[in-house]
Amino acid sequence: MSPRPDSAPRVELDPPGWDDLARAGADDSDATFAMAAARAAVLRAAAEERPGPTPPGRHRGRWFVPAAAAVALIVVAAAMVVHRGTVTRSVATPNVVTTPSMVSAALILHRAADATTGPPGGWPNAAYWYTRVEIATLGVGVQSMETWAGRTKAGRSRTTPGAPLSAPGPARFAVGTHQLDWAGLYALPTDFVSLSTRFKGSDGSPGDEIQQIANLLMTSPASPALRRALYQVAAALPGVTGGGAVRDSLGRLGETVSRTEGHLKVQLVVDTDTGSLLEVRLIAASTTAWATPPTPGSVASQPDSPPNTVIAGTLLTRWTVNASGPTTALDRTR
Amino acid sequence: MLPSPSRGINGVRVTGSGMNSDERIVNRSLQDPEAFAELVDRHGEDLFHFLRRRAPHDARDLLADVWLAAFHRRHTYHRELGEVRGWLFGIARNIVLAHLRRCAARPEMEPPDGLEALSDTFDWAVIDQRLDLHAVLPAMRAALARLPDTERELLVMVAWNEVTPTQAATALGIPPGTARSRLHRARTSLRKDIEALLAYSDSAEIALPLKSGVTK
Repeated sequence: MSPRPDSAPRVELDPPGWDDLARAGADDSDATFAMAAARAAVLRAAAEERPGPTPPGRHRGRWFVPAAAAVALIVVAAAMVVHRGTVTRSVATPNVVTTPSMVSAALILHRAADATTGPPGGWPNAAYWYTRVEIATLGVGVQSMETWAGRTKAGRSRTTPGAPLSAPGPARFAVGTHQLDWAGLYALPTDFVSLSTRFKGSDGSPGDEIQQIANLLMTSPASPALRRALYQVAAALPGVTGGGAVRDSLGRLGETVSRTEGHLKVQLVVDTDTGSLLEVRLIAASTTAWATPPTPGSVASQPDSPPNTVIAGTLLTRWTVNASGPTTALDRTR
Repeated sequence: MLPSPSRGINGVRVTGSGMNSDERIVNRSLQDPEAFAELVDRHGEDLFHFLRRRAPHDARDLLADVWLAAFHRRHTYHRELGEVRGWLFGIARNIVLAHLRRCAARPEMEPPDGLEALSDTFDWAVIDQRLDLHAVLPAMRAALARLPDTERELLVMVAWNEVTPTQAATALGIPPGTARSRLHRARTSLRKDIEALLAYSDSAEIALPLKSGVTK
């Protein structure tokens, strides 16, 4: 028997079978992964508690959306007219949120790939692909956006608050340097080696692969096989790090993988039990001034407000997926 | 399992005497939130195994939930509640109970194997499977099944070296004296029952009615 940690002397005899009972408590399962996730969750919560990088809703002053990033993520890109942002000045005082990379990103992404299910052939003939996301943008607030990406007909998007917009034509999906239509998406190879070559930029340099992949996972009718391959491509990207367990804005438990692309750290929250991409976060990778008018009419001009410096680590925008799936008709209500 | 400095003898961490160092970590974490992660290193594995024994399939996710809850509630910890470890196990207990209730309320979610009716204590079927696997003396299992839920839960926590009796009291929100007397009562009735059952079994030369007797 093991020594009793309590100081109280044990006078009674162990009942027969007591040692068996004690042994039955043995649990040999490996805690490494669970521990890393728990530790990462605590460190993340601790980082969020510290003053410093300001999450949306608690910020002082007015910040502008990094519209270039928004462009990369909007599936019906043509439906949203967004001006490109320019970096006007830079401050050399990085204040990066600690993001422990204890859980291998590749492990997370491969688990997500393995968990992805759905009809084997996907949805090659659906009329529209519907997506509802909640978008929170620094300086703008929270919006809900629905998109109907059309296969052969023009799609539509509706942002609340905001006005509905019609897309000029069928949906296009950015893959590498190409804008693929629905059929093009279904013609993509689903083995990840071939697929990964499609994401190479024209000069082969690293670009916005993780944003493109996030966008496809979040808002495109990619088949389950393609989704699996997309996760595998992401897992093989250089510079992808894992961050352990977090909750997304809806309280769903997921695991994060991140990659810095340009001035943005792109963070994906993935449910590795279902293979769903829950949330995409765009975080300022460097302390940078973003001076950009976002979507027309929202936060266009603030003449007395100089270009705003965003501290590295600040959450600029997050996209949280509420729902997605094929649909037969364009919702024309409202 | 990999050896780890955070595990003491048989999984019970023996903390330093006097002012508990866990308590110092909690206090420090009020100013320095990252310090709380040290508690994860100290007690995380034991909490993980605690969760594994009660919700085998969801222990990993639940562990993060437990630690996040503990982190966000760390302001509410004070010495009068008992040791930090007991407090942590109390949080883990609440979280796993809530999880099991949620599973029971949503049948489309796969509940832990064999899970049926749930009370305010743990579902016995999960633990019963464990006893099955380890070929625990049938008489012990029958006798355990006869214990009141509150005594059985306490007894099992201590038998599995998850917590000391005093820490168990904190986890269950009862005074330490109550925990010790319940434990004493449980052990006494367990021994009495087992001896009676063994004697009966010897004299009658029949197998004991086991499994049916254990499932509540």
